[in-house]
Amino acid sequence: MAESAARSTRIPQPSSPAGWILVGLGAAGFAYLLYAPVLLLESFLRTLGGVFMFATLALAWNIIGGFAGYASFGNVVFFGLGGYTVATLMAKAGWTFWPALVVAGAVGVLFAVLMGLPILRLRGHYFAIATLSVAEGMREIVVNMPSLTGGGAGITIPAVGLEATTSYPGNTGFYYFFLILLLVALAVTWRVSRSRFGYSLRAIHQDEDSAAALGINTTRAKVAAFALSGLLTALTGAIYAFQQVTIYPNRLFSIEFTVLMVVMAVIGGTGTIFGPVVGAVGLQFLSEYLRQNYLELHTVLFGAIIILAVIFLPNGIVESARELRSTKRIRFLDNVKANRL
Amino acid sequence: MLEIKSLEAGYGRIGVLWDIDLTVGEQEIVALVGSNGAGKTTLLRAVSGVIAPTKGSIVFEGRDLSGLVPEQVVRRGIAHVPEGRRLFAGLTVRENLKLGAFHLKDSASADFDRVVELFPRLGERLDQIAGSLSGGEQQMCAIGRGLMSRPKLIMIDELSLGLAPNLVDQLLERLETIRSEGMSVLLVEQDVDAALTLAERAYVLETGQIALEGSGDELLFDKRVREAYLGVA
Repeated sequence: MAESAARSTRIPQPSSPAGWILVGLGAAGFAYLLYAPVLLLESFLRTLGGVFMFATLALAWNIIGGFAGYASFGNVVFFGLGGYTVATLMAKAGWTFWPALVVAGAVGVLFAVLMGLPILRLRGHYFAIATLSVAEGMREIVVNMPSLTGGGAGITIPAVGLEATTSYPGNTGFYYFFLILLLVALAVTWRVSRSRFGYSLRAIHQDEDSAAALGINTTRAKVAAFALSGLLTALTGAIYAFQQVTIYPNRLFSIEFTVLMVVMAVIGGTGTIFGPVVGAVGLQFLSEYLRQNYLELHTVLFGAIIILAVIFLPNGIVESARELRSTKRIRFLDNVKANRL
Repeated sequence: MLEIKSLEAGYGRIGVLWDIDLTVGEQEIVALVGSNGAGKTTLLRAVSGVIAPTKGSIVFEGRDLSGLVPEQVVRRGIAHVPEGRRLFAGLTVRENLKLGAFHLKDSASADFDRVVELFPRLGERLDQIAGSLSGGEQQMCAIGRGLMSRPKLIMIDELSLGLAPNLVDQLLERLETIRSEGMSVLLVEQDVDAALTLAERAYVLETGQIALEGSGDELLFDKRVREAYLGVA
């Protein structure tokens, strides 16, 4: 089933010369990204690494929020847990980075399963609120366990000198870490999108009762999607923590991260493969541009643009671009008319 | 092949079905008729495992279905085409049909071809989004999706809902074909005339209890049925 069904998925296949040109451009872009550290300023590398990080977070969110349709507003909990796992193991137990990274991923998966089993029974807004509460609650727990986590004062990973267990990789190193993780997340999304598992998630998104009636074990599929999302998010948090050296609960479990990953996936296009990446790249560069040019109004403008994007392109950039290709126009006002905005 | 004995079921503390006895034999078309709120849909939901019965038993091919969740009931060979079709509106017809065979280990391509043969209209619209189909085509797609699970018994809830009469006749004709291929059909219908004409046997459900049962023809000419459901004396 998976193979034949895959033919009708929404993956753009290069069927025209233009398609092949796009693939060629993609390959050239990728080659450039690999070689970029030699060409670019260190500060810009750091910005790019941040873009990759958000793209990965948005892709991870997309698995549970986009494919399965369960809008998690607490994915930052995996990010924070991943970060704190690495920081605690390296600072308190003297571990090196790589085994700590593996444990961080495992913690993400385990926590997603434990938390998913009860709260994935909730639907819609109830699920969103439950995930939000879990993330907020976890931050409080981390704040209140100073012996392990450093509490509100934060925890510092030994990164230089004799105490460093793994030498600090620097801007170039983290650039590659985030790039590799982004590629992994893309590959995972691509696989999910074409698999039986991906179809079961789409079916759940569309009508969960019908999906169950067709023989889909909805609980298992939802928990697996959540675990996959948790794994990628925890790994991202782990790398982020090492990059920051000193981490604080308010940063690692911040609502800002949650909102950004959701907004990026939604604006780019949920349930698609490249949508979350497009959203992350677009919004990160936009945010950076606004910060540099309109220092005082930057958050106001950023918020306004997000609101306008959601109103005029409710299906996301990727879907709208596809519509443009097939019908030669974008219906900006459909959503406005339909919902009398 | 399906035997329901003294079944009681409901939602929470609200009982809906009382002391239901019903059987469906091999290659038999059985109709279940009754007014709104009589419990027809609840009965199908109990069989397919969407709700758990509070009392009584449901036995399919000699094996008790109690305690099974929907995905296990499908594996035993019962397909449920729910009221209002409940298609995956954002997916294509092809994807909807393929999802019907989700629990099968093989590719189900023969089943797919057979469904398209049974409903040629679907064949013309395989890559169309299911939500954009007409009501009749959606019902074909829903039945087709049910058939894709390779059932021994297919239960169809409100086949005629919102459909033109001639289309209903066409679909009922297809049920005859399905039966001749070896399946049993349990049909819930508001269109009592059409249902009783097609079915070998039928049950009349009233406020959660079986009020009457008999052959389709017997019920079709039963005075009480004619008064209550057909509006003729």
